[in-house]
Amino acid sequence: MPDIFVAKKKSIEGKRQVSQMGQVSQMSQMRQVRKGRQVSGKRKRHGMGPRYRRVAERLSKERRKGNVRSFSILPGKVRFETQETREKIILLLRQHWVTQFSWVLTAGLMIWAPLCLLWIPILDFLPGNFQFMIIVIWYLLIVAFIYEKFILWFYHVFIITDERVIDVDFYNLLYKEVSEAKIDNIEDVTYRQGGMMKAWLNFGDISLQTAAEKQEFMIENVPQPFKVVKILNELKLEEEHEKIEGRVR
Amino acid sequence: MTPFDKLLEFLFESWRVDVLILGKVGILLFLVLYLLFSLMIVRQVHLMSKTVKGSIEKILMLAAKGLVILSIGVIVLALFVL
Repeated sequence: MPDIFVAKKKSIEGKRQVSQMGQVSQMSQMRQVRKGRQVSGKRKRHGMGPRYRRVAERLSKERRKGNVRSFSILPGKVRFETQETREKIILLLRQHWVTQFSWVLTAGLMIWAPLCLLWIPILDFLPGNFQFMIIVIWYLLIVAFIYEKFILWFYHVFIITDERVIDVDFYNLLYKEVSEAKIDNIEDVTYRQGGMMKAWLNFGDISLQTAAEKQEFMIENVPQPFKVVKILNELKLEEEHEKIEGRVR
Repeated sequence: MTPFDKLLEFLFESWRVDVLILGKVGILLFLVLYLLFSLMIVRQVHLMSKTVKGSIEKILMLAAKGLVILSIGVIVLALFVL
């Protein structure tokens, strides 16, 4: 009789020891997670399931170097005015390069235009020094034109972070518009890709319907719109997970 | 040459001189406006790079300042050439 009870007692103690050890290992895992380290061996993070990987982690393999890109995944060095300390930029989008072709072509034609004066001497009535200065002024205008067009393209960006989307518009050198929306406020994402050029070079327009006062965000002529929509949907899901767990920033 | 012809010649010559002076002033005025425009670009690039900070802002700012230097250089050139 005593044998059975002794044996049972032992097993209970054993279970207690095992559960205590389990608690200790869970606590150490939690501490590691809080410190930002990944739990060794497993991918389990924040209680999101063993196979869950954050969007930023998953996209880190697709990251490419280059400062002047129209589709940058996780652009490390880029920061924006209202960025919070823990906020991470997932995507930085600019208009596809082919949409800039018109002004590049115009600039190219403008550069060669003074050669026409050899065949059509419309400035011949002016003295030589005046003719020379007019050509110099012409090239100054071309430089200003190219520079303005480039910076307007370069700074007209659409940023997707792990928390929100930000649209920075510079319509001209004097007018700036920055609008933003929280990712969990986005209700509907659609993309349009019409025309041979857009289908061939894989770029299009994306519109985001938000719950906020400003109804719609429009991103025009961005490369790989399908991928952008996919990433946005994944980020939305991630936000919902965070909401459920009460980890909303 | 009649006195009337002399008057016409005088008027045309003086008109020609006036046109050249007007042209010179016009070109210089344009170049001063261009200088102001390039200064505005420097200011604007500064504001833009505050909004979105990347890695080629320094190059862009350098280019904007280069534009200012270029416009000053052209003003000096115009003063010598015209």
